[in-house]
Amino acid sequence: MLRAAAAFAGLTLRSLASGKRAPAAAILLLLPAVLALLAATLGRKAEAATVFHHVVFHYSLGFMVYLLSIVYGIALSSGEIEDGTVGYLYLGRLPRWLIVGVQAGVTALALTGLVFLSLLLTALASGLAPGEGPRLWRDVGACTLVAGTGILVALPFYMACGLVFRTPIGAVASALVPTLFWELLVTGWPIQFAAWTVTNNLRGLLLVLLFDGRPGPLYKYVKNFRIPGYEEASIYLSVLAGLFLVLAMAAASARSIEGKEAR
Amino acid sequence: MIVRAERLNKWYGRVIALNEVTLSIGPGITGLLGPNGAGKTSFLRIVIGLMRESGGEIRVLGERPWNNPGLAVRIGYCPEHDGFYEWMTGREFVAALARIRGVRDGRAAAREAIEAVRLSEVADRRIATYSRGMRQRLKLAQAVAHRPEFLVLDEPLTGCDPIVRQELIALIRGLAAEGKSVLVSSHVLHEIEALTRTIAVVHRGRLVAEGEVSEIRALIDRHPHTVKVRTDRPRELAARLASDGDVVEIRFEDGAVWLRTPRPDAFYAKLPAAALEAGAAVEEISSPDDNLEAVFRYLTEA
Repeated sequence: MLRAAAAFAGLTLRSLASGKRAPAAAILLLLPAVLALLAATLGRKAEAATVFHHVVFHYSLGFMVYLLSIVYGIALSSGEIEDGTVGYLYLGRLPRWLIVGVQAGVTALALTGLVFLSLLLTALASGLAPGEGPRLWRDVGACTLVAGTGILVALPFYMACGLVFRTPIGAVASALVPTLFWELLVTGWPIQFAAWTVTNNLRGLLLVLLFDGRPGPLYKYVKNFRIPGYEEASIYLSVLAGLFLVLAMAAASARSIEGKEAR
Repeated sequence: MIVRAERLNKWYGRVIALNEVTLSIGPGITGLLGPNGAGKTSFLRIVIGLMRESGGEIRVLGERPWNNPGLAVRIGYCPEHDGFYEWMTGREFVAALARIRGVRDGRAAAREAIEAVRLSEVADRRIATYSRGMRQRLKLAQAVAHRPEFLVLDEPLTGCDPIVRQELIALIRGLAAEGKSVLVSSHVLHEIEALTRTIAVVHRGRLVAEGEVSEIRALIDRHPHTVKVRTDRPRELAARLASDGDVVEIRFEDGAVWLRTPRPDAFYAKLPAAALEAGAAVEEISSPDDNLEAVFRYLTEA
């Protein structure tokens, strides 16, 4: 079974780099560096570290992590069912729950690696602005860790959406609605529930790892709730990641793969 | 028994795909015949464990197929629809799947399987460049690479040209001769006849006939066959054809004659001579009963 799992991990890795998803992912990953470059070269009062922090805070952790996870999460589940390749995978030596586990693990690792490169480019682009730049390896490393955590939470959730809903459109809708509403809107609302969004918990990790516990102007939006502390956020995000992964595994185990003739 | 299905049911919402299907499939090649939408693919997907039955019982090689990876690797499945990693070469595709199914040396297994389906010449080309026939062979190759005991082939000959069709038929018979059990589905009777004598017929989710091909054919032949002949001399032609009792009903329409015959083979054999004697120029011969739907409808009513 180990051999089969390793072979499947290799196949998953190769699949990530091919097909229609790769260009979309490339754009998402390069965009923060482009934004940083524009801000550094065209912004009048932009300081290097500030540019980096803003781009990471608002874009990389606010949008990029979720969009990347949606693109790959839906493709790994609903996409493979739609294009028929899942039939080959589910007729192998690996139980379905393990297939989901391997897919989620390999993809999360690969995406985190790509996010690291994206953040590195962003830091380098930010460095073109005047003033002290980000502490390259420390800041990029910290942000990668936080982004990777976000991917570990979001990716299984979107995989579960793809496995529960019968059609890709249904899967995308079920993935986008909570993301748009909960993560993108509620995150900035001045209500207590805002502390429970994944984004605010990731920002709680960032507060310690990047800003040494000192909330600066970026955290001024926090009203009527408290940004979770490092330990709280770690526990909450770990529980969510585990829950979503188990949900995705259960969905895969229960999902009947109906052919195109069923529609 | 290779497959034992007992009162098997499957529904998609309100649509019943399989309705109380009780069927046993033994070793050798068994054909599953039915028109499109009859429930063949649904049955096959339940047999291989991709889909869960809504009711009833099914055993494959003595085990329940649903969520059973240990059983799944003993089965080779060739799906009807294409689903490939198009960016891979054929060889890479077969080797990768062989490894996922637990084969130690995936490349060697892939080489053997690709040679068996005669795809060696194009094995190192990307799948995206493959023709229809090559894709069918590739599906067969991945189905046999891990040396399964039982092969499930869903419409393996659909869309293939006559030469490829013959080659695939020979290949499937070769696999059965090696000792593998094969369950093959099709909506074309003569394709199934070329492969096996044992068939099961499904229509609208029900098992309507089961047994030897000759028995099913006899059942079909008992049903009067309708033929339309477009000709310039319909009455003269009809008179010649009706003379020896092979025609039980005649109806005329403008420029054509409709005939019903219980012995279509004898009728078609007589038609050219009758047209010559009548001096009739035959422009078109067609038969609404040539479509399998009419045959299956008859079997259901029978």
